[in-house]
Amino acid sequence: MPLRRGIEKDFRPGVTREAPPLRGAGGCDINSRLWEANREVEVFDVELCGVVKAYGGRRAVDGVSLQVRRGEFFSLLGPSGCGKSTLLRMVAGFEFPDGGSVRLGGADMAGVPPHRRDVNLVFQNYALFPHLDVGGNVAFGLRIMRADDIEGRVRRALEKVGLAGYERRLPATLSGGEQQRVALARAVVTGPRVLLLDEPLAALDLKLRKGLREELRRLHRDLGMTFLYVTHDQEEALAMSDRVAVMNRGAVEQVGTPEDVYERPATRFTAGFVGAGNFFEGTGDGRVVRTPDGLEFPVAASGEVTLLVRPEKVRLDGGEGIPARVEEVIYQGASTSVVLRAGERRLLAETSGAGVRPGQAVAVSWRPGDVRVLPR
Amino acid sequence: MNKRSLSLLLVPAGWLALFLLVPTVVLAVRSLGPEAARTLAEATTWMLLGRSFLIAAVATVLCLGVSYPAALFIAGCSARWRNLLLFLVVLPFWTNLLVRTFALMFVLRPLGILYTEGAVILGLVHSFLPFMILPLYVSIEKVPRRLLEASQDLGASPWRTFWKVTVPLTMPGIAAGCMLVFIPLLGIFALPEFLGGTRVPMVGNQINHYFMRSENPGAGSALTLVLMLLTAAFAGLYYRLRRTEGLV
Repeated sequence: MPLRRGIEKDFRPGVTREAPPLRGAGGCDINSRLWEANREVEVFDVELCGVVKAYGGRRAVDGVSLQVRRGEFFSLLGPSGCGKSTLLRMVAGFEFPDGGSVRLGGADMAGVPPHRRDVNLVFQNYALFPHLDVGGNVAFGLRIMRADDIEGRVRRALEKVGLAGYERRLPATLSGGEQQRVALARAVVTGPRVLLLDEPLAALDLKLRKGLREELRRLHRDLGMTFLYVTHDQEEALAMSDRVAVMNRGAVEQVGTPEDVYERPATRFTAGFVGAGNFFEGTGDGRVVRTPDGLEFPVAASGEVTLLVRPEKVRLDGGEGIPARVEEVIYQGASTSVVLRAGERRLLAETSGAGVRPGQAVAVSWRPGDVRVLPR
Repeated sequence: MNKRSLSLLLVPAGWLALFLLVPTVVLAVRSLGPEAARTLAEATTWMLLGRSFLIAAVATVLCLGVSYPAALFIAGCSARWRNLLLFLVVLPFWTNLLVRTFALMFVLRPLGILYTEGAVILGLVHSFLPFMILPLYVSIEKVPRRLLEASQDLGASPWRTFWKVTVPLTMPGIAAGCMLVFIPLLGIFALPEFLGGTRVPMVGNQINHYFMRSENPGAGSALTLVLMLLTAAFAGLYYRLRRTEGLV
């Protein structure tokens, strides 16, 4: 049987390693005190505990521990091949972990098949049943449950996703965006504990994607359901989520609010993946960090560190600063991206106003408070 | 369609006209005689047709029942196994049907069911399995796996998923397989001749009998025409069904 669908195409062979220290999530051991303490004060709909999934010796998921709160919009964000989809499929029950445990509403899901799990998945490519009309698709889960008032519930679900009156249409006659709305209605109509979304917007064009993003957010608010959302699009994750888990090579790099992961990235990977940045590698003595090319940053760090300055924190109008030359100016409407050259270094800046031209000499500066220290 | 592509049809069209159209017309003309009318007026003729229909239908349904799990199994195998299994499915074509039928007789005789309707049906199912398995396999293989997952995700057990998703989506394969088996079965004569003896004649045997033994080509022609019309009716029904289901 082809049971290997969970492997993502460009999976990178991950090194076997311990799960990294977790921030804001529970510990790796189900009996750990932090984990238990979390459970005492909050209700978790999804709990992953040291989850491992290997394909032929490669660990696609390598010791992931997470706790998703009830009613939370939680995103798994990472590049393709980082294991986020595999993780989602383990929550749905299509894959079983080789190690660790998956809990839904506190109940261990070991050996529980997909149809007995109180979660519904929205697939990237919609996965609507072509032999059923829209109404039949949305009613599918309700019929299995032998629910009451199927017709009314289908109608209300379709209204909620803006497709009132679409019952008799066949999926093949709908646009991609409409098909994904039907898939959403089909997944939420049975009222699952958790809605799983596997890059539901990836197949749509940009404008539609942005519209649906807001709609998903609204749907989440209306339903009060827990959403576990998988995406490789950092903008999407930041815009929609209550919390984000940034994943890399099968492991979680950081868990936090969108603001946390953007403003206070815990690792170099997170800083680079979530947004753009200027990185400076240097050595700190506790008061000042010096880079090999002679830059000095007055930050309290010691040892080998990487410093991050986000492009929008870079100022070009200060009187003093690092002398640089403007290489490129990319006008983006609301803002302008500026590529600068300072010696060997390439710097990125994002400004709101115009005023710089390619070739112009500028002094680059930033406030000391805008410098973030990352471990190396 | 230009003249050049039409000219491509010249040879096949001529071939069909000479060897299909002409004989059919001859057959039709011959079946206008008095023997034909007498044969068609007999109740036994219609009973025979009815029984042939029933045997063909039962054999087709059994064939479907045996083939579906086989096709499902093959479609679920890895690519290497799949090719091997499909090769095994068509392997019987490499041996002569008569040889296979004789071989089957050696098995059925000691079981004591040779020359019964059961033996005929068994033989028919046996020899037409590939015609059923192949179209079923093709349509099962085309069912996207994510649809099966979506069904299970929405709470359907694998069994219900099979009935609510796999079967409806493989209807074209089921219909094609059934037509491929049922239509030849209606007119078959060699297999019932050997496995059923004189006790289980089907319409094909009777036609053979009229032409070869009792020198009554008129009756044979009439019966053949009735069979042809029936077959055409079924084929027409099939295409109509396919069209309304939007599967063409």
